[in-house]
Amino acid sequence: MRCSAVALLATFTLIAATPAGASDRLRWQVVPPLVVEALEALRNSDESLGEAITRNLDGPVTGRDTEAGRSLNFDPSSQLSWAVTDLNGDGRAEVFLLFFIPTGTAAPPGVVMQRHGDGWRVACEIADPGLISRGSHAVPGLIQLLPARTQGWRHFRVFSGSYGWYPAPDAPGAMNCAPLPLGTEMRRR
Amino acid sequence: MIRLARISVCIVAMTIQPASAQRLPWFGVDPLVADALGALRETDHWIATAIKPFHPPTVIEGRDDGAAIPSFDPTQHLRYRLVDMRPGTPRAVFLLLAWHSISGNGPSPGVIMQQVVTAAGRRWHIACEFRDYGLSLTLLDRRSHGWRHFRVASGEYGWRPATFTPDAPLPGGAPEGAMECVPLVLTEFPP
Repeated sequence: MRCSAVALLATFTLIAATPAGASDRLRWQVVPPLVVEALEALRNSDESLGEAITRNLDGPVTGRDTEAGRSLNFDPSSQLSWAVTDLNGDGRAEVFLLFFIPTGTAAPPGVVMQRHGDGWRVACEIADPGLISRGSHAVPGLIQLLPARTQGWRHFRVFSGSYGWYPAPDAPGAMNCAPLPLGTEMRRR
Repeated sequence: MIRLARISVCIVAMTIQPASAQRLPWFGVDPLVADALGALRETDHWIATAIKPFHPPTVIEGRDDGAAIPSFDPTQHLRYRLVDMRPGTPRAVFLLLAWHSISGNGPSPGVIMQQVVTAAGRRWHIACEFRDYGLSLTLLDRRSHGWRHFRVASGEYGWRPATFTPDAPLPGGAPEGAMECVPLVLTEFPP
């Protein structure tokens, strides 16, 4: 009697642990909506990087066909990296955008987009390879978030340097980044 | 005892990150997905033709009317998923073109891009066309030729060896190992 109760319990446990039909439901992946929003704001701005990624390099006939090779225009599926984090703890994330477009600079250019009012503004211009070499292949690189803060805004380090923050003179309530001198990254300002 | 305590403190100090710096990784669309999308765009497939104008709406130099042409933007209109369809083969890339210009109010068109290894190297093959609303796709436990069946809004699909590559005709037909999906249960729209 006791033995069959144990067997029954084991059967119920097994049924509960086995997924029905062993099918897998997968969610479609997308570029995060916050990234899309920040990118769109940059595209619509008059920042030089915004203009660079909206420039049509394919001439009157947009999008090249097989004979002419792939399009030269900015392709976010292969030329964009992003990172999303709340730098100032206000519950509204900032968005780091990095563009793998030919610029002739040492590392791909990027921006930190900050929400401001109903829209977005460029709070910082940076440069970073976005990738690090591991053996024979490249893996995503890292942004280092430093412990120091200015007016609640967290300092960070990328390839182009370490950055702190100061109030933006032209946008009340907004911040701009400033490169930090070497050796001062960890200090609270 | 004191010596042991000192060693422990040293070990703890070495393992803690200096002043709690954090590392934030860069993200991006998986390079395999970007490559598959690029390969799709180079075919003569009707989806490729539709998404060819490939830059954000902007004024094109040389056009007198100054009109901005709406175009396909992968950040806004692409849904994707890398899926292990058969053990030991490269992952297949599910691409869903969720762009109202080509889908209207109905389900969006999608393709499965398969990487086929040939003597000439790796090349992409359009293994399936389907439609979906972009919420989720279901991998079923059944398989044909080792390839996992799946279900999307347009129906349930199985697999068989491909006899041709859609809209990219090859003199010798489809490459060895290329697959094509077979609709098993089709959904009528509106469902």
